[in-house]
Amino acid sequence: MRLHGKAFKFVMALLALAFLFAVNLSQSRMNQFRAEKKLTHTEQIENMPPALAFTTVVLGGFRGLIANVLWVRAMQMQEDGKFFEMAQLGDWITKLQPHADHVWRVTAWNMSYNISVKFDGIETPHVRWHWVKRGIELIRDGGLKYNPHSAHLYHELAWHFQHKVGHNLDDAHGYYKSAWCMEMMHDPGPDGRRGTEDDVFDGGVIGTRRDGYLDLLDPQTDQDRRRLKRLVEEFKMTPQKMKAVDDLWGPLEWRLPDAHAIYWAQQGIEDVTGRFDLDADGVLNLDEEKAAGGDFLKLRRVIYQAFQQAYMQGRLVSAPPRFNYGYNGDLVDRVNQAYETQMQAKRDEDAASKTDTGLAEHMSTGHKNFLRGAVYYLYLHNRMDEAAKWYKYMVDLYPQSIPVPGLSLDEYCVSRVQEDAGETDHNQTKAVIGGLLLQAFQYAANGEDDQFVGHKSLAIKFHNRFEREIGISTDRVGLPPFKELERQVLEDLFRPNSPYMHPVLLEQLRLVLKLPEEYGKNLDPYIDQRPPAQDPAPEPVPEG
Amino acid sequence: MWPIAKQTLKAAIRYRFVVAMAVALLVIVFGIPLLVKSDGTAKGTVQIVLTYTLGSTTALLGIASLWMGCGTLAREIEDNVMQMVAVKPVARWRVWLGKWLGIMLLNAALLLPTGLAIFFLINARADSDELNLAEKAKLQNEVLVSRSSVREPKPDFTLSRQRAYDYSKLVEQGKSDNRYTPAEQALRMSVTQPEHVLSLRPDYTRLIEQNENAPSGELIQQIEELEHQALQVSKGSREIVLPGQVRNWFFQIDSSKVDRINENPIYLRFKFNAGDEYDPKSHLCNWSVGAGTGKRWPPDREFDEMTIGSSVFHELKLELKDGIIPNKGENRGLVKVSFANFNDKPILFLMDDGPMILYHDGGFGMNLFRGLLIIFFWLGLISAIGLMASSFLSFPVATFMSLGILLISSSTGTLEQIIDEGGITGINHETGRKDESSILDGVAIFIARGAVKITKSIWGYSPVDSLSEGRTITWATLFWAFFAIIVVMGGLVMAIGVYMFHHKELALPNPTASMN
Repeated sequence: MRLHGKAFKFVMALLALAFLFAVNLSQSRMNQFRAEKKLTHTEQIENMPPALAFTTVVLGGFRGLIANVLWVRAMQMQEDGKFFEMAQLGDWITKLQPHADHVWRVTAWNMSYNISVKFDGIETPHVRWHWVKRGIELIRDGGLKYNPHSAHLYHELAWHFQHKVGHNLDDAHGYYKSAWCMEMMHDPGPDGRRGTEDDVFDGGVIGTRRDGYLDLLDPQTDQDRRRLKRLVEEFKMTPQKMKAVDDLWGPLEWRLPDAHAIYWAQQGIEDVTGRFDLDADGVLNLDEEKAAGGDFLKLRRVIYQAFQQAYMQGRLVSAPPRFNYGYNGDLVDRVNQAYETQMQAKRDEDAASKTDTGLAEHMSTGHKNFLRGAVYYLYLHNRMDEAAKWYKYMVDLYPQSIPVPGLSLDEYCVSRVQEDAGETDHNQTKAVIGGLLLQAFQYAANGEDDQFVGHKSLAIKFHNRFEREIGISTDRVGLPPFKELERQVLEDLFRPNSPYMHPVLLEQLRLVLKLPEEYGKNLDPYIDQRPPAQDPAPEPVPEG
Repeated sequence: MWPIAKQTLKAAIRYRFVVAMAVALLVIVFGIPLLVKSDGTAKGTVQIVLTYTLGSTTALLGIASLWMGCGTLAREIEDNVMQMVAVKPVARWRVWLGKWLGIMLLNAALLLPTGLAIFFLINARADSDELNLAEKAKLQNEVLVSRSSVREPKPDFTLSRQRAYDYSKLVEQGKSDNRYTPAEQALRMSVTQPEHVLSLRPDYTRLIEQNENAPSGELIQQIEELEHQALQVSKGSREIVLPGQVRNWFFQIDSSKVDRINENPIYLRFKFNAGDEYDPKSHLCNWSVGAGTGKRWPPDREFDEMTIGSSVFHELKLELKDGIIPNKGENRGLVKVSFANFNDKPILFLMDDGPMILYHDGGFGMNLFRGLLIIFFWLGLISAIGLMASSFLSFPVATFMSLGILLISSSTGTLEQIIDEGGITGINHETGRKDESSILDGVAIFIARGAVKITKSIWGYSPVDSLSEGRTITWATLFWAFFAIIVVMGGLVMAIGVYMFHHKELALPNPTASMN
C-alpha cells in the first residue's frame, strides 16, 4: 500500500524524529571516542550558544572565508573611524573562529591599544577606558571560555592588566587604575549601572580591604554571597585561586591592576605546567617548554615585571574619587623572593634539560637592578634597618652592584640621589620626593630646622625639575601638586598604627607644624603588608 | 505597458513573494536593533542600527530584484506564456519595460514602509527617556541630521613643462620685481607651485635643453623625476606641519546661509597622520578658529587642546553664542581654522583627507528619503540587469551571469590597485614604481580605468554611510545618481535587453518547459 498526502507526511515526520533521537544518542558516543583517541586539539565545548553552534557547524568551510570578509570590513571601518561597528564585527569574527586564539588576541589588542587611543585621553578618558575594558572582557569572558588552555590568551590578558592599565604609557592610565579600583571596591547594584540608586558602595568583590576576597571563601551573609557570585560570574575569578596566588606572591593589593596581571599569568603557568609537565616533576624542561609554546616564558616574565610595578606603585594611598597610589616598600621581600624563585626555576629547567640557556643569568640583571633601587628607596623613606639589611644582601650577591668596593650605605644612596636628579620616571620621582619629605618631617620633629628646610627644599626642587623635564606629558606622567604630595606624607605619618614615627616624635611634629589635635585620627589605619617573618631578621650592621 | 506591470505585481503577490519579503523586512527592521552590539554609546547604537537595517534591506531587496528580473521573463519564455503576449499588438520593448516597471512598483511598495518604519524607530530610540540630555543632543547634532560640508579648494598642482621651462629661464635672469615686462609678470602670476619649485633647480632647464638638442629616453626620465620630486615637495609643503609651526585653513561658506548655519554648532572634521600607524600613540592637537576676528574660538584661551590618535577621522564641535561663522563685512562666511603643532614630530594633513567644516543643512527625514531613493535606483539597475540576462538566457544561466556582472562591478579595489601600480605586472618594491611597462599593462590600465569610472558612477554614492554619519545627500547628488544609474546605465542595459528580447525566437519548442 502506498501512502499519500497527509499520511505520508506524518510517517516522514515520525521517521525524522526517530533519526534525530538516534543522532543525539550516537553524538555522545562519538564525542567520547574523539576525546579518547585525541582526534581533536580542543575539547568539545558544552552549552555553546545557539548562534555559535550554528556558525561553527552549518557554515563549514565557509567560516574562514566569511571571517576574512568580516576582518577586511573591520579594518576598513577602523581606517574610516567608524568604531561603532567594531564591537559587533569583533563579536562575529570571534564567533566564526572561536578556537583560533590569535583571533581573540588580535581583536582584543586592537580594541585596547588601537581604537582606544583614537579618543581624547584627557577630556574623555572614560571613552578610552570603555574600549580597554572591552578588550579585557573579550579575552577573559570569550577567549578563555572557548580556549581554556591557551597560554597566549593568559599572557595577553595579564599583559593588558600589567601594561595597558598598570603602566603609565597611556595618557588616561590614571583613569584606568581609578576605574578598576572602583570596579573592585563598589557594586553597581542589580541594575548593573554605576551612579544609580542601587549602587552598593564598598560592597564590591574586594571591598575596602586589599584582601577583601577572604570574606568570600566561606560567605556568611547575603551581601558576601552576592559578592562571590559577581567575582565568579563577572570577573571569572575565584577566591580560592586568589588566595593561592596571594600565598605564593602576596600580599597583593587586589584593588589595583598589577595583582590581576599576576593572577592571570599564574593561572596560565599552572594550566601549562599541568598539561605539559610529562615527567610530573613540577618543572618544564626545554622540550616540554617548547611543546607548551613560547608564551610560557612570557607568563613568568609578566609576573616578576608586574611585581616590580606593584612594588613601585602597588599601595593604594587613597581610594576614588581622590584616587592615589604609591610606593610599597613592604613588598621588597616578596619581590626579591619572586626573582629568586624564577631564577631558580630557570636553573632547574636547565638542569632538567642538561643545558644552559643563560636565562637565569639574564634575570639576575633585573634582580640586581631591583635591589639597587630597593635599598635606595628604603633609605629615602627612612627605613634604615631594612635598607642596611638589603644593602648587605645586595653587595654579597652582586659585588658589582656598587660603583666602588667598600662604599657605605650613605655614600651609595647619596650617589643615587645625584643620578636621580636627571630622571623623569614618575614612580621613582614620586618615591624620592616622598622619601625626602619623610626625612624632612623627621628632622622637624627632632627640632633640626635647617635639615627640615634643606630636605623640603630639595623635595620641591625635585618636583619642579621633574615637571619642567616632562614638558607636554604633564597629563600622562605629571605628579600631583607638591602640596598634595606633602599632605599624603603627613597623613601617612599621622594615620592610626603608622610605623613611620614614634608617637612622642609624632606629637612633637604636630606641635611644630601647628596641626589640630585630632589630625589623622579619622584616617584609615595603616595596614602592615609585610609577610610574617619566618626567621628572625639578621642584625643590621651599621655602615661606616 | 501598465497592464503588464500590474500583471507582474499580481503574480508576485499570488506566489506569496510579497508576503515573504514583507515578513523578512519586518524581521530586519525590528530584529536587527535587538541583535547587534554597539560600542555602548547612544550615537554608536543609532549608527549601527541605521547601517545594518539599511544595508540588510538593500541586500535583501537587491537579491529579490535580481531573482525576479531573471525569473519573470525567462520562466514565461520557457513556459510558453510569453508567446501569448508576443502575438498581441504590443511592442517587445513595452513588454520588457512593463516587466521592469512591475518589479520597481514592488520594490517601491516594500521600500517605502520599510523606510518609514526605520525613521520612526530611530526617532523613538533617540527620544527615549533612557538617554540623558547630552546623549540626545549628540544624536540630534551628529547623526539624526543632514550636514553639508565645505573644504578648502584644492591647490593647482598641474605642471606644464613649457611654462615651467619659461619660468625657470626667467628666474635665472635674476630681475628685480619692477623690471618685469607685462608678459613676464603674467607668466609669474600663472605658474603653479610645482613649476615654482622647479625653477629652483638649475639642472631642470639644462636637461630640457639637452633633450631638445639630442633627445634620449634617459634625459626624459631625469626630467620626469625632477618634475615628480617638485610635485611631492609642493604637496609636502601643504600637507606637513613641522614642530612649532602653525597651519591655517580658510573655508568659505555661502553667505546666504550664514545666519541659518549660526543657529547650530558646526563641526571641524579632520584626520592627521604622524607616521605611527603600526604603533598608534596620542598626539597633541591645538586648534583655534577665527584668530584675529570677533568670532574667536575657544573664547577663553588661545588653543583648544586635544590628545588624540592619528590615522582616523575626528570631529571637533565648534560653538559660540550667536554662531561661530563671521556674519559681517567682507569676511562674511569666511572661517579661518588654525592648527599649531607643539609635538616633537611633524604632523601630516593629507590633502585628500584634509579638514572640512560640517554644518546643519536639513533634517534626517528628508535625508533618509533621498538615501532611500538612491537605493531604489540601485534596485532598478539590478532588476534591469536581471531582465536583460533573462531576455536571451534561461533562468539559471541568467542568474549566474547577473551575479557575475554585479561581482565584477563591486571589485573596484582590485581595479584601482591595477591603476595605482601601473598595470598587472609586478612593481619594484624598493621604489614603489614600475621599472618597465608592457602592452599588457597598458590594456589592463585602460580597461580598469573604464571599469572604475563606470562602477563609481553607479555604486559610489554610499547613502548608508552618509546617513549614519549625518552627512547630506544633496539634491544634486540625487539627480546625478538618477542620471548615471537609471538613465545612462539602466538605459544601456535596457537597450541591450530589449534588443536581445526582440530578436529572441519565442516559438522554438522548449523541452525544459515546466509542466505547470
